[in-house]
Amino acid sequence: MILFTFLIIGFLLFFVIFSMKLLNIVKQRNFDHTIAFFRKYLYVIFFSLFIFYILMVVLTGIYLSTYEYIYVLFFKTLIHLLFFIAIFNRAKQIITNLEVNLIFEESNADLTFQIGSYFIYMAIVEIVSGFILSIVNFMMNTTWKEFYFQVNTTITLFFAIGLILLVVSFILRKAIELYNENQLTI
Amino acid sequence: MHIILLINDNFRGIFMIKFIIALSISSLTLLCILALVPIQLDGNLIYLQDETNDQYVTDQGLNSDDFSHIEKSLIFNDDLQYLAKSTSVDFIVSSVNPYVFSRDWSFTGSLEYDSTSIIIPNSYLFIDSDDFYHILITFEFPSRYANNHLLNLSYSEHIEFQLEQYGMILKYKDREFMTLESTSSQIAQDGFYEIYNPGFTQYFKNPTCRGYYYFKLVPIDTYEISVVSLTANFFERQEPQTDIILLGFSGFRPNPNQVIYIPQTIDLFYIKEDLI
Repeated sequence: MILFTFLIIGFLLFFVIFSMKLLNIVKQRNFDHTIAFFRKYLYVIFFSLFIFYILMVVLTGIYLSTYEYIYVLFFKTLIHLLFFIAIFNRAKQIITNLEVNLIFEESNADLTFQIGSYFIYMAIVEIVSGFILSIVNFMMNTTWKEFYFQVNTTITLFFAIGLILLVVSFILRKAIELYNENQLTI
Repeated sequence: MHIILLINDNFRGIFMIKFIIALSISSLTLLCILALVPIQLDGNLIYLQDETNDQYVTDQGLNSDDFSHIEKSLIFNDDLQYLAKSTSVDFIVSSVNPYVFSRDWSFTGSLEYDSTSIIIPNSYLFIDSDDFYHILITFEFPSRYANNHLLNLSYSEHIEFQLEQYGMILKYKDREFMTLESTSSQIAQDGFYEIYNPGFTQYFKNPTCRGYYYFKLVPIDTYEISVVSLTANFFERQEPQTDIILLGFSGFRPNPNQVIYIPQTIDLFYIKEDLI
């Protein structure tokens, strides 16, 4: 128990220091350094998330029959895991493009648009599957019937991130148009 | 606000990092102190080990580590001689009617057979110098669970079980703290005995909670006790989970009014030897 507590504290500490270092590097305005560190940051954050989600999928899978509504958690974790894998792949491609100085490229705008869409799809899939599961649960359960709705901050956050990324992708597309026109003028 | 300061001002950025590191180190130190400082329950009676009691219990052929200090003093003070110990047996739903087997479905429906109970029960049969039989039922569980139980006893209708003493203590290393005394209100209701864990929780030290029931067996009318048969059912009460699993905007939770009991049974049987 003590070991587990210290492990969590250690992880949180590492996360905070890593983020502070990222802020410090962004502040220095060295493009190559920043991109190189962004790759590291992306790998650390996403791999920690993958490990967490895979562990959750395995654990919920083991206890699927033991607890009443653990299958809901199993679905949720599975949805997140699949979407995060897709988001990670797109983010990795953007960083690879930036590393080789491909900034004002159509592919970057497309990838940003895809990442934004994935965040919104993830929220929609979660809302719809939750709604369907609650209907099934309500109809199947004979002893205990309940239709429960609650505000979910995570879903709102996914929507917000998705919309911001969509706007960024449109701005980037506009910037690419201007960049291309500028190149032709010269 | 902090992020803006960090990006704009180099000095403040470094100061923030140092501040966070200092905060983390001080939190870790605080956690270490909390984990290492021993439990102090001021005002609670502390039972300490007594060599005489330990020796007396060992002389009876029992392991003195299986008993708490207060239980050992009880055995020693009442001059009890050990006769038999219970064994763990399969749980069978007892009948609510003594002559026709009929189940109480409202209670039977809330039993969960698949789970293993965290309560470790035992019972011991003793005889005192006046030829009165005594039964000591003990149980133990980790104190981090604010766990309660129900105890149901089945025995011969020719014997009356008189509850003489009961209690619950908190056991931490070699010290024992009284958390519930036997002078409390009535604990037997609807055929069930129940003593509550006062809810003392210590997340880093994990002491154990230990309870006991001490019964005196009194024969009804002129019946002479030659056989003692006791079946004790322990039902570990599992409070309903209140956690809500959210998927989208839909929440899922088990029935908050459904209390579940994990059953287990111990059986004690003794025949007086000079009967044969």
